[in-house]
Amino acid sequence: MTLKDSLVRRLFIFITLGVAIAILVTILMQYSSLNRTMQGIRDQNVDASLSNMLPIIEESMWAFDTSSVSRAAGALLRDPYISGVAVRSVEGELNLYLGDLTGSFTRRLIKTSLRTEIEDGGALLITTPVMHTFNGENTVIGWIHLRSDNELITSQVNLVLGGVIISAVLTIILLLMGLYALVNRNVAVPIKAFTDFVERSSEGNVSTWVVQRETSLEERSDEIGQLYQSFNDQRDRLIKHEQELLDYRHELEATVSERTQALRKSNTELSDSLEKLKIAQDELLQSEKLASLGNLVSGVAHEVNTPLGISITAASHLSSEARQVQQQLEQETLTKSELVRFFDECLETCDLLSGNLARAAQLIRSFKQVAVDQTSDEQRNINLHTYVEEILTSLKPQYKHTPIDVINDIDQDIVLQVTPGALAQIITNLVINSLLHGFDDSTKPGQIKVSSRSDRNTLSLNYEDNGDGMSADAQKRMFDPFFTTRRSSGGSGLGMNIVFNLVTGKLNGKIRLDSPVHQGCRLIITIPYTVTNDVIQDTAL
Amino acid sequence: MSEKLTFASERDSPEPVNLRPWKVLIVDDDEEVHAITMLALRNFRFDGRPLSFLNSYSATEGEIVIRENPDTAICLLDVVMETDRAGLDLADIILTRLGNTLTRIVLRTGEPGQAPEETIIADYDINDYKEKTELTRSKLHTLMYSCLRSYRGIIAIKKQLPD
Repeated sequence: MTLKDSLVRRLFIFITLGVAIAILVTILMQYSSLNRTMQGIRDQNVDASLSNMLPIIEESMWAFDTSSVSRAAGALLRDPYISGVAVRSVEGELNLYLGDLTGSFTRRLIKTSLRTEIEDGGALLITTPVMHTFNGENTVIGWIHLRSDNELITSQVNLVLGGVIISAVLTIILLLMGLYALVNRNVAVPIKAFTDFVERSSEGNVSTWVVQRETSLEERSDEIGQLYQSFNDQRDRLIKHEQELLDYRHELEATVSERTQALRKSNTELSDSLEKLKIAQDELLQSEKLASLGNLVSGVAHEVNTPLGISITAASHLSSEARQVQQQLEQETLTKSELVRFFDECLETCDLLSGNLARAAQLIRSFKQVAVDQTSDEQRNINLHTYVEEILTSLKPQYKHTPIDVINDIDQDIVLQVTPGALAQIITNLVINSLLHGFDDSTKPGQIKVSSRSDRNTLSLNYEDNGDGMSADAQKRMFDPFFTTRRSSGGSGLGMNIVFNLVTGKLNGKIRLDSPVHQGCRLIITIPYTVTNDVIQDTAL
Repeated sequence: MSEKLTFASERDSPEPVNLRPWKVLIVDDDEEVHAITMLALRNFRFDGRPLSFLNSYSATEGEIVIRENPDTAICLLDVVMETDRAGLDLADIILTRLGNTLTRIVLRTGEPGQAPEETIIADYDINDYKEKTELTRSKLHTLMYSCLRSYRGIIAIKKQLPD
């Protein structure tokens, strides 16, 4: 594993290098101090030996006892630090060389009155003058040369340092082994366990995680334990959070589906009720249509019954008069003046009779056409002026008792193909509305006028009254279905809506209001129209 | 019968009628109704007394006329005039506001659907109800007889009463 590799190796290299440098420095320091110490010891040894032998050598030399000098010199040589001894007298009769005096030693035998020490390669050369005090005067009688090889010192130092180095190396090895074991046990293994744990516990999606514990790490309170704890805390929090998120999502999904369901349900209900509303509206429109037809029927029936009643009375009167005259004629009691009177009365009655029958016939005829048209969608060519006149005639019962003039000012030459029923219904509804709303006070004189204006492609049918007009609100909503200002008196609010639908639907045109608030009512109906020359007139008459 | 028509000699012109005529008020918005009614009843006599006609062409007008002529015997009243029920309203005014219970009120309607006979006769204190189409001359005469007879009776009773 790279982490272990790099971390542990780096740690070990650093520790090894550190310890090695420390030991090296220590060894170097020990080496020099040991060297110095050993040299001091040698100096002391040499000095001690020399000071022991110097008086003997001085006396022997003074007495020219060569053998004693030789013995003394031999004694000097027994010192382990002294490898060679040379004794020379001033006169030169005594030249004694003992031990190892190799090298340049002989050439360097200096004659001096002072003790000198010369370092020569791997050895120390010490020259001491032999002084004899005679009559209170020091006289140099000879020299002792000593050669002390460094070999002993070196071997001793090396011995000591060798031990130190071996122990240092052993220490390092042990230390590293111990350290390795320690690091392995306390760092690498737990880290590996922790890594394994992390890898194991992080498999798959967060949503599939569960709370896990690693027993080997559970009890630790060191840094790794803390790391493990905080990792676990984090992870547990993550799991908890994820769970909450999941719960929330489920909740949200449930809510959304619930809402969707409710929405769908209310949507269905809405479309159901819309459907019902449409049906109801259609039914209302139908019944409104029938109601206006019913109004028309009863109005026309009344209108027809009056001339019919007059005719019946007239006819019965005529027959009664005739019977009376016939009787008088048979009984020959008829006077001439009576006959004249009878004829006068006959003519008068017949005038009434034929006039009223014609009136009834006219009413029936126009009513029939309008009634048929109101229930049929068939298109045909009509002369607009004539047809509107018929409609107005059939509506006459509604306004003839009022002081309201209804004027048909439509151009007499306009022939167009339309659904006459639609036109009849439109005019009927407009006139009824004017009478009902515009001229509520039926005693005030007023005027309703229908006029036309045609240009190349369109025909404007203008309907206007000079009645009370409408409020701004009523103007805005006048074409809305079920909008009425007379709900209390039974208005359905469908009249103008029917007009709007018929104009835009059946007549394929447009309708707009063009009058100020509370000042009459002026509606402009625009329908497509092409002037045709081959006028096939198929009017109601 | 001879080829030539022979006329009877002219009778003496009937003695001028000096008797007070029965006042008949016709309320109808149709002029020709007035004309035919007067024509059909021209020679009508009851108790030897002829009829005199008062003509009103609307309910409003009729109210004024009957107010001025409380001795009107019969009021032939159309129903649909200014409004669908103008005649009914006038009948009510005559009976309640004018307190005239003597005048015989006969409704003549063109369209029974708008003023159904049964409800009208039950709800309004009127004496008869006729559709325009059922009034032949003879029925008109019958109507006149029955109304004038009861009017005559009421007047007689009223005269006998102390107040």
